[in-house]
Amino acid sequence: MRAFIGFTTVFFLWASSLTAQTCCSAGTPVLSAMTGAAPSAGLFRLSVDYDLNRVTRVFNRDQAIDAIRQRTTQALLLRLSYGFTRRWGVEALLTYIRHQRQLNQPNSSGSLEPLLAAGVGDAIVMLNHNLIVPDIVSPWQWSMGLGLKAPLGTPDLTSGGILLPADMQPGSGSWDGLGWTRVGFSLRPHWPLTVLLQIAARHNGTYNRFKVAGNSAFKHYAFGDVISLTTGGAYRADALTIRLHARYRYALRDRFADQPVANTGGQWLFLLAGLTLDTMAPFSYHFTFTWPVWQKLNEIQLTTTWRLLVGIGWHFYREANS
Amino acid sequence: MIRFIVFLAAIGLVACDLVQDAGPVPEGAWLIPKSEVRDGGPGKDGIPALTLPAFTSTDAARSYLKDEDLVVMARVGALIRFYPHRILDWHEIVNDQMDETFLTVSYCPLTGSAVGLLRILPIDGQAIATTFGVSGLLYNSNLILYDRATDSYWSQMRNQCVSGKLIGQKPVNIPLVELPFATARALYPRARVLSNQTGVYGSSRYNTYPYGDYRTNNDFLLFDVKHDDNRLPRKERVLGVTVNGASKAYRFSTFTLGTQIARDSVGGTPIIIIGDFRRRFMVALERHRGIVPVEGLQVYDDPAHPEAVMKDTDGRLYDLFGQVIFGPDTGSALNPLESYIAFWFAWAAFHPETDLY
Repeated sequence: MRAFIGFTTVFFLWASSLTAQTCCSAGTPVLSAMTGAAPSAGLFRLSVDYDLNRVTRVFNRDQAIDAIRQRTTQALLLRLSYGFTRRWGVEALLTYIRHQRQLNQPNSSGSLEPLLAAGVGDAIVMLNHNLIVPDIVSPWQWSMGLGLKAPLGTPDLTSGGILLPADMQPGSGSWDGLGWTRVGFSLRPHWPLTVLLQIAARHNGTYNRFKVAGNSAFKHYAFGDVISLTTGGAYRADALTIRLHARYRYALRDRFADQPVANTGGQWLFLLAGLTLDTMAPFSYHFTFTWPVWQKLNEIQLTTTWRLLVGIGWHFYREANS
Repeated sequence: MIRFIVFLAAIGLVACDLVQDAGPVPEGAWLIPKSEVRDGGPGKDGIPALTLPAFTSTDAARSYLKDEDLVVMARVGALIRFYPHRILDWHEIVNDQMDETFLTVSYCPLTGSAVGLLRILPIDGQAIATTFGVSGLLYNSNLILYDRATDSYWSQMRNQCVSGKLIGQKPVNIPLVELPFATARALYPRARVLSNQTGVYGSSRYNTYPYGDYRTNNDFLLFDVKHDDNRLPRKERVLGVTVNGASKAYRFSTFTLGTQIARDSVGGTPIIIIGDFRRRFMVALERHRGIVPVEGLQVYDDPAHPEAVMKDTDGRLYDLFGQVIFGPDTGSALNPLESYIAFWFAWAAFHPETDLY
């Protein structure tokens, strides 16, 4: 426990000194970070992850075009989960978000005009349920979760007194609903491979971005709802698990004053490759690289070039800890 | 476990909000409420202004401009240049020079407004030539420029420096006329046109409008507007005129019977508006050349003088800039006004008391 606290402290201090990027709630991997089965009864899990999202490409629908600027997102994700029973569990996610944008080339003054914004991000609480728990007899697993994203993060940071745009804010300002379901099938004992199919969705609430008073349509800004479909497999060789997934993501347009916003929303196809190492129980280490292989965006948008997630997890049984 | 949770809470307290800006906006006074200024997203120079770009002939420009594409015209002496909207949509500012005149053509796609200004500024008692850039900030959805000499911030539609060393200064305006490329080309076939070979983006970039259906969707705004006037559709293009603190807006629908001249008064100053709904232009000018009143202005159309659109009772022919191009006092001009075309919602936001012609 002390070692974990020590590591977490060092991790946060190191991460807070970073001068690169941040991620807004719209770019924080909230759905993918949360979608896990309910842990075993009495099992408590902690995970501290670092997510790096490089947003350097500009697309006009499905064609890459020249980019003048870039944005980078860094997030610290603290995940906690606990299994009440073998079927029910709860999961929480706390975030710290850091954004940076800058020009790709210096301007006439020789400056890249960097802007950094950081702060505590939104939080998530999820109730997870294992409809089918894998055991010796059944290779199937079916889990689902429902939850809420709470707007703990600041959605109205300013620079020099001027409101920063939504993609530079640590928080979204809105309450959102989340849900997911996952079906897995294990090929053990013949082959240490598990395949899965997962659907996740997020419905975004509205937020009064510009602090408009009175009864005005300008009070309502909402990020576009998102649905994602993930499939793939995990292969376990002793303490090493290798994961390869494909994810399709569809985001609706943002809405402002009840109107769809141009240059938002679209479709993406990602490849995710990851490793998990369990050699130092109760600690585990995980790494995921995400690569967008296809995108079709609405009009013109800055979009992810690649994404990296690294983290350390720790688990223990509540009975042993007390 | 409790110790760990307390530890996490402590981290949360110290992980407070942080903003670091390499080029923060000027401290000190602003003439507009900072709480209503918005960061548009791209950041300072995230929309790259053009400086001394290349120009081409009107014939060559037909390879990348359609007849109905709107262009912004500027005139300095005998020189006429066109700045197409489809290039301005991506750069918003062109720092140019015509003969000895250093000018900046600014265009805001979100408010549909083009304003020309001299880019020689009085700084510490000296006339300094500078360039303007896109600050990335918006007020009432409208472009805020910054000058590179002093890093002062200028509201385009307010037509004034609103923050920084030069706060309160009004620029010397260069009159601009907006109209379709086909009409402009017919009036000034030897004009030069801003080339799509800008050296910043590939030329194919300018075949795409960057804001979806923003131009035509009256309900679609990207930012809030303090004063949302519903007398007209938000995206209707109007000619706004400001004289002596009074403001008035004119509609294209007033000029449906070919080219017409309307006589009016704004702020106690007699003006004329020459407009044509089909050919999509409207220009406002004082009914004075210098201190000399001008009477009897009529529409003029003669292939012998294709750029002439008006004549007076003394036989002077005037172009759309109000310049006398034939007859007595050639080279003189009707006094320009602080006027420009903009989307109605933006004009009304900047001029809540505006009259409507």
